[in-house]
Amino acid sequence: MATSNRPLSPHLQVYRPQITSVLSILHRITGVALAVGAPLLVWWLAAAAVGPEAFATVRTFWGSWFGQLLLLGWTFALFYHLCNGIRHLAWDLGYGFNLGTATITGWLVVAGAGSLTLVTWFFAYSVTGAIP
Amino acid sequence: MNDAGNNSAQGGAAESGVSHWWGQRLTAILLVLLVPWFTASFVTISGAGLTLVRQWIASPMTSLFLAIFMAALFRHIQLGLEVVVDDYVHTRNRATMASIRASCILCTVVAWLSILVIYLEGRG
Repeated sequence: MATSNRPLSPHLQVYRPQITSVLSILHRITGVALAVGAPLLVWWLAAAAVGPEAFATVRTFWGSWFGQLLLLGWTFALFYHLCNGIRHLAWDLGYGFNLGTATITGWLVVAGAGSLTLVTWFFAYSVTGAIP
Repeated sequence: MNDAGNNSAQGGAAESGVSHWWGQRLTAILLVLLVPWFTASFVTISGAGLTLVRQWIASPMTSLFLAIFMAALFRHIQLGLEVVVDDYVHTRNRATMASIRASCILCTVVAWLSILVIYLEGRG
């Protein structure tokens, strides 16, 4: 197996964790987690297309405690990746690079993702009964 | 897009890197718009039963937005996973890259077919 000379990421464990670095790696972790979850969304769509039995199977799975736990995790991952993604897009435009600003927006992202998750689940259980 | 195993500047990151970077941002912007729409709709509609779910999907606006959402989502996932593999996996990864790409295309196609079936049955 040929090893290429491409540059690789630095060995991060030599650094003391900081809010900015922790949130940065969390962006990737949530991204990969969401990539694992996204095909289940396709499963939901396909089941709706196939018919009542397939759809009932999907709902039974998501309705179980394990399914609900997965959904809760993915809800937070989704909102975290969304909020932090907006932070990344702002950086791409050249805004928010100041270290103090990056720390503040980092905590805003955590607070935003947490509250959006809570609001979504409160809404889901109070208005429609449960997800899904 | 050229294969990741080409070490020369031509056909390597000099060509594919820029479109990769832009692709990730453009799909990100689409997803910033579509994820809140989908999440709010999903939470509202998904508990309501298959008939209402299908009615919702079958409306022209929903099926169009859903189709765009699925394509943007899996393109974004493909580009993101490719970056992760590039950064953390130390050997050349033609097979890994190909399977990421194939899985994302497969998911998009299955999602599109499902939307199309529901849309057409909703018309009929």
